Amino acid sequence: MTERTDFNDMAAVAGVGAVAAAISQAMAPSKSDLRISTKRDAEVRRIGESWPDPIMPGQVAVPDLPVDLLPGWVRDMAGAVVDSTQTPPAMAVMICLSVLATCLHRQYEVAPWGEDDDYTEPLSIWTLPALPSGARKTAVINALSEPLVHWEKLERDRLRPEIARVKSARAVAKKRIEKLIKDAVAAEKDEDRENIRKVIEREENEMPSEILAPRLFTGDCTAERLQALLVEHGERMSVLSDEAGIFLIMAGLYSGGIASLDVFLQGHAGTALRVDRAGRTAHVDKPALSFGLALQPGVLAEVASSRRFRDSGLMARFLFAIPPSNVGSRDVRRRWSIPRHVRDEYEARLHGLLKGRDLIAGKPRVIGLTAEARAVWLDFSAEIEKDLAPRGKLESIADWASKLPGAAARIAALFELAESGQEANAVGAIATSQAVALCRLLIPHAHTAFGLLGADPIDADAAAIVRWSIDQGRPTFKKSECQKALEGRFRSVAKLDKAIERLEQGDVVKVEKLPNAGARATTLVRMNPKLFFE
Amino acid sequence: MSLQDDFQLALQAAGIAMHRPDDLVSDGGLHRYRVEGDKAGSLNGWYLLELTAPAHAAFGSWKTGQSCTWRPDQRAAMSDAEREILAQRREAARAARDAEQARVHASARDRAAKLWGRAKPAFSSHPYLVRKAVSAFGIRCLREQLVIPLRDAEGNLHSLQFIACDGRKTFLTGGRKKGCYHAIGALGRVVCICEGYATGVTIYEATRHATAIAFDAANLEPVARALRAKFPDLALCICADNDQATPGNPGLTAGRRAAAAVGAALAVPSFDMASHD
Repeated sequence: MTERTDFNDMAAVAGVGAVAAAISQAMAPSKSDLRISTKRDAEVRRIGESWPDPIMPGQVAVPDLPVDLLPGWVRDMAGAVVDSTQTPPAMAVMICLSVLATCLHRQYEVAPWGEDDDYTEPLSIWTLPALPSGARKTAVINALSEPLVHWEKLERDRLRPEIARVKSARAVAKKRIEKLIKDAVAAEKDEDRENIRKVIEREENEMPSEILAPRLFTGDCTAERLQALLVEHGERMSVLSDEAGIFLIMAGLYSGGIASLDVFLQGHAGTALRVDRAGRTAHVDKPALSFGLALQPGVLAEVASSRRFRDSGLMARFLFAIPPSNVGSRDVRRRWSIPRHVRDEYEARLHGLLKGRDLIAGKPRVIGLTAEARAVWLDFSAEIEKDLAPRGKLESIADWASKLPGAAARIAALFELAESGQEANAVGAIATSQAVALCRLLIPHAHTAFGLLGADPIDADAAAIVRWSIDQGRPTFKKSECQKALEGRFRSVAKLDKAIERLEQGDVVKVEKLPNAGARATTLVRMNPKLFFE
Repeated sequence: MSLQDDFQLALQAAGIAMHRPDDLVSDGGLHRYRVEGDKAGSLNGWYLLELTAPAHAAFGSWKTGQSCTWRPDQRAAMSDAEREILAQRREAARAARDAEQARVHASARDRAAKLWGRAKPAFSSHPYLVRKAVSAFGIRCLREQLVIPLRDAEGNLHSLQFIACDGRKTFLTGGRKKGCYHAIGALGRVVCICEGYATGVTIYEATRHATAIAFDAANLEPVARALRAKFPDLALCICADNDQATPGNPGLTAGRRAAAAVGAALAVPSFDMASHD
């Protein structure tokens, strides 16, 4: 390994986001700049110990996700796509995870405690990289999902004669049954009618099941159509898209805030799905649903600001990547195509993972973790568990972080299967270590996503309040004082209320109402004391 | 062993032995010579040798920037008169060296301007830039080598750094380096200062802060001082190399010294996240 010494080396292994974070940290104001006296500092520090860590609006620097974390051939393709499209590696890494899950979910499950244990995780993965418009999200998704499209076409061509045969057989059988029903109705004798009924029964039993050309993924669909797709395509389906449609459907933006979320939730967990509604039934024993959604940060911020959406648990299932955008600094004169041999290898290996895929879903094969891999996974799980505790680093995103060890096990299994192929017997320590390293890097991205960052004007307002409070050395202030001080920004109380609410969601402030006899209550805003000494 | 032989040994020890030792002149004046191993016609070495008591010499290389002094017997006690003479000679030698250095720098400036004028704009497809995954910012290309200008705080071109496809770096012989840098990006509220070109571009692309490339650790402090003098109100951030495998961590040591000298922030790369490798 080449010796690593400078920020260029750091960017190569941890991304430019990590470089930005390190320099930003070095440039952070010192304690003396915070205008809190030493005596008061001790007091503020003591009070601060009972507060969780704040999630600052728009101020979390996130590391990029290096493609080196992916298994060999996936890494090569992801790296080539990154070079070709000049996009942040995080985008390609996340879509690669979803593509691998598309090939392997429902076929396999991972059992962290060993194959004989009853705790298993399906291999469905939900990824959500967020990049602004014009960041070439479509190009990345297209390049990485192209082999899936090609596989669907090959299967469609292979099955075309069989589909045609079954279709015509079913059409004939249906017409014949219609005719037999008429005959039965017209039959004069009960004995004749009974004989015809038996023939109808036999015709129905012998009618071949409908065959559909297999589909691996869809781009945009409703929750109801997704249920149907799961039924039609072996209880598994993926959504790979750079459009916000399905995400907005999930958030209930098209249904008055009340979306049918069961299909999504159960598709991630792999629990049985039963729908019995007028005119529609869907019975799926072990649904497997993966997502690879590339959205604009603004869309994410818009949806994430809905407390209801977060409370549904859907947000907690996504692995977020919100890398710094490089739009504006790309080299327009540079054009690197994806090398043919890299593309071919990627397609061949993906098709290898899809080999032997049944049209009708069977029982998933369970693979366990080796003892060494389990030790790595348990260390990581223990580390996360510790940070989930009250006032821990992950308390404010506990819903998301509590699913992270499960996600690490899923990713580890995907990595192992990608590296070793379908003959993999167990998930090894290398794949698990890589999955854990990736999951560690995902934590600041989740903080960013849950901190509702991006191009959200409310974030900007919230950040202005924080800056004012720190500059003025005001850990506690009345809402009216803040509005007066920042009247240029907050011309309406409603705007200020939204910003304060945003800060409250990130544990940056606590709001109290102080009753006033015979007058309106005073709104007191207490800043997280940790902001004044960390 | 004669004093001349002793002096030749000192040159050898400094790695700048004379190509033709017989040409040694001990008249107290400044002489230039071809260093053993340098190409024919080059005069990168220099010395002033005075053999009348108290014997004394100064020598160095315009190519490497070395500057050393020599006395035949460091332990021998000197009279006050000898000490006075030696001080005068050293002062004269310094003046002669400074004058010669000014001539060498002026010559290098002219050559730098000519070569810079002949160089063509560099593209990000250059193998070194590709390997480092960085773009070309204000640099040029000459005979497949990247050419990076070294300018002072006033913007005057003094020297050039050349980076070959394999990453080998050389400077224009005799060119001034101290306090010179290559600047990337528009001036904002923060200026970052780092050692190498690839590091500088990475920092600029990550932060969008204007970045000054000082070319080596020893030049961090002179560049930081030059920028502090030019921009007293700007925040400076020394982005040091973390030479953790090198004894004494020279990158970090020089970074700390530069940061302390001008009251700048110090950022150091961390490779903890790479432990999975």
